[in-house]
Amino acid sequence: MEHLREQKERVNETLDRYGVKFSLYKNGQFIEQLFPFDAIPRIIKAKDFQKLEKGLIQRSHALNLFLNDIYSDKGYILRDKIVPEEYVYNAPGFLPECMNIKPPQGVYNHISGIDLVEAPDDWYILEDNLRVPSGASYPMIARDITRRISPETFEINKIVDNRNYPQLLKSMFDDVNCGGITVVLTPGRYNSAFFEHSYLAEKTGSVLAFPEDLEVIDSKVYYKTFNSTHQRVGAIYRRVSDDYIDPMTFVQDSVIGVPHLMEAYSKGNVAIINAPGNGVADDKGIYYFVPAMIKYYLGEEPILKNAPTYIPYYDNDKKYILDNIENLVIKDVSEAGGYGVIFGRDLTNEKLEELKNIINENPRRFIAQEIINFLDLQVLSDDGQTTVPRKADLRAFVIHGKDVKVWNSGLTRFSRNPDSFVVNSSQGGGFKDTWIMYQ
Amino acid sequence: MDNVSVNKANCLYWLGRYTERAYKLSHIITEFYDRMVDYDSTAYKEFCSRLGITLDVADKESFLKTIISDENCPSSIKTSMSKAYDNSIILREQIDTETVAYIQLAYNNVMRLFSDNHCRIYDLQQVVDNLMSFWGAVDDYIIDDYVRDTIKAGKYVERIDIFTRFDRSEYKIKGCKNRLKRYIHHLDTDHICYDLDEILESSVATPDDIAACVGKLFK
Repeated sequence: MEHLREQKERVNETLDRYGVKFSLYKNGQFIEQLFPFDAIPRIIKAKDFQKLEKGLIQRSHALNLFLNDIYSDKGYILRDKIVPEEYVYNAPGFLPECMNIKPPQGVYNHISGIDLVEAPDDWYILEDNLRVPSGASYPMIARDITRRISPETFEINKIVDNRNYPQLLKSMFDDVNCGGITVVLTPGRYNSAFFEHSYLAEKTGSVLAFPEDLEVIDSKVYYKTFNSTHQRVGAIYRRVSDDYIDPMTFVQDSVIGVPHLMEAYSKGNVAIINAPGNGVADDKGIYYFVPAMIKYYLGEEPILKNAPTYIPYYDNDKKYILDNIENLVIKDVSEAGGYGVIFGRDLTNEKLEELKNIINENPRRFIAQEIINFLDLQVLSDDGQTTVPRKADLRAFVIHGKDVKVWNSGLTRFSRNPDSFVVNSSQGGGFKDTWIMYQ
Repeated sequence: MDNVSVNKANCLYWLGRYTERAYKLSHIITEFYDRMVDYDSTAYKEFCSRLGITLDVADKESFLKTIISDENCPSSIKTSMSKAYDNSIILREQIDTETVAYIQLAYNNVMRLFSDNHCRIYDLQQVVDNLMSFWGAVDDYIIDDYVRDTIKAGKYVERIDIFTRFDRSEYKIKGCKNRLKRYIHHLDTDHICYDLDEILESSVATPDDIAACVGKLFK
């Protein structure tokens, strides 16, 4: 215990030294804070990880095929009524501006951050993050530090090295690059994940670019340098959300976008990582249909399970939701980051009735899921004297270039509140390293 | 600097200036504090006058706390470190995470060691050590000569300013000017600072004139 407490302290001190922080706005104030690290790792056996890996690759493939399909004029999956049209065209993440644009190498979801939880019987997918998934840098740098602080741990345990994430990214960048340098486009210093933007730029040998550094000339993107030259940009790992990426196409008063970027992208002159328009595929409503997508596009049974999910769009599901609402978790599909999640069991009868009415009026706005009693992980208590059980999830990272690869690690986030299932860093959660074992 | 934007060049320059400000002023604060210990209890007044600032302090302890850790004091070590930090973190891929870490460490030490009313001048040594390590990291980790020279141009503009304000010897100031000249000649391929040599040689030119001339290069 003493060893773990000391290790936790030393890793957190070193994370502080390296400025490993995330930021948030609280009461209108910008606050930078450490993402607390816990020294007890999540351990995944090789056999279990092999299954996860296959399932994640399968899912990533299917989601990419879905995006290729719906943004083409074919829309086979809609024509065959596997996914209802309104779930695609009414999804806030669906961008008509992306219709008939073929991204380089046909890849939309270059980096998928897929959130899973482990229940006593199996792993379950909680959600897919296909827009700008973040968080890989934290376990990567924590591993590097832990190896220095406690090398004997890595001598004794046969753990797959996870420090190859930058190489995976770099290789994918090169696969889709349309000719030129690769830049990591950050909205700026005050973004919540700025540390990660700058760190991944450094580790992948890319250029960290701010919106004003990029310019589109004749449908090509250039990075403006100090010595008045313009460097052609072939790939942009953008950490700016779709809405703000190009003021000429989306939100007009965006100051964190690059004017005419979509024009360059549509002409195949630059790769945008991840592709614009992916929000439709990680919509909480579309999540329901991913197992059907896997069967439809790949002719395979899904290897990984969705959490049992119901959508009020279907009458049978709606009836089930309304009859069992106190046992379900209701999610507002337009919310993210752990917000808009309501546990029926926490509501009074009056509030439950209110919620039922809202669901009846806006069936497209919600999904309902069975509450998965996912396994607790042991976390060192704040005083370091004992361990306490806490809810935790796992964000797995799938990198899609010419090949699809799963990073041999992941971001394990845990709730620091004993009564909470919400693990998000923005809501006070911490993180652990994720060890994939050789055996 | 093929992959350095105008904004980043500006940040490199100001990183050099703010880091040097914290570093050199730490030494000068130590000198003045020493004077205040036994024979010149109001030496802080001269310190403030030379920097052109006003401090609401009454004794050597309050002087030390204010000039090191008061974020409302524009010349405090904390203010300089905070600004150096803001510039450094957007330069990670140019200057390396290890180099950025020394700025972070110095900032953390200012916060940790000077946050209460029992400041000790001795503790400033830890901050100075971190900054010295930063300059070592600049030489060791930064591959691109232009990136390194831009930081050092900022450093010597700041050092000329501080040395002039505190009446350091002509010999020392001349040495700083020579180094600055060397860095700018390397960086200024478009001769934007065409009049720098003349300004550096001039007996009437001020540190502000030098900063204005060099600053043109990074705007």
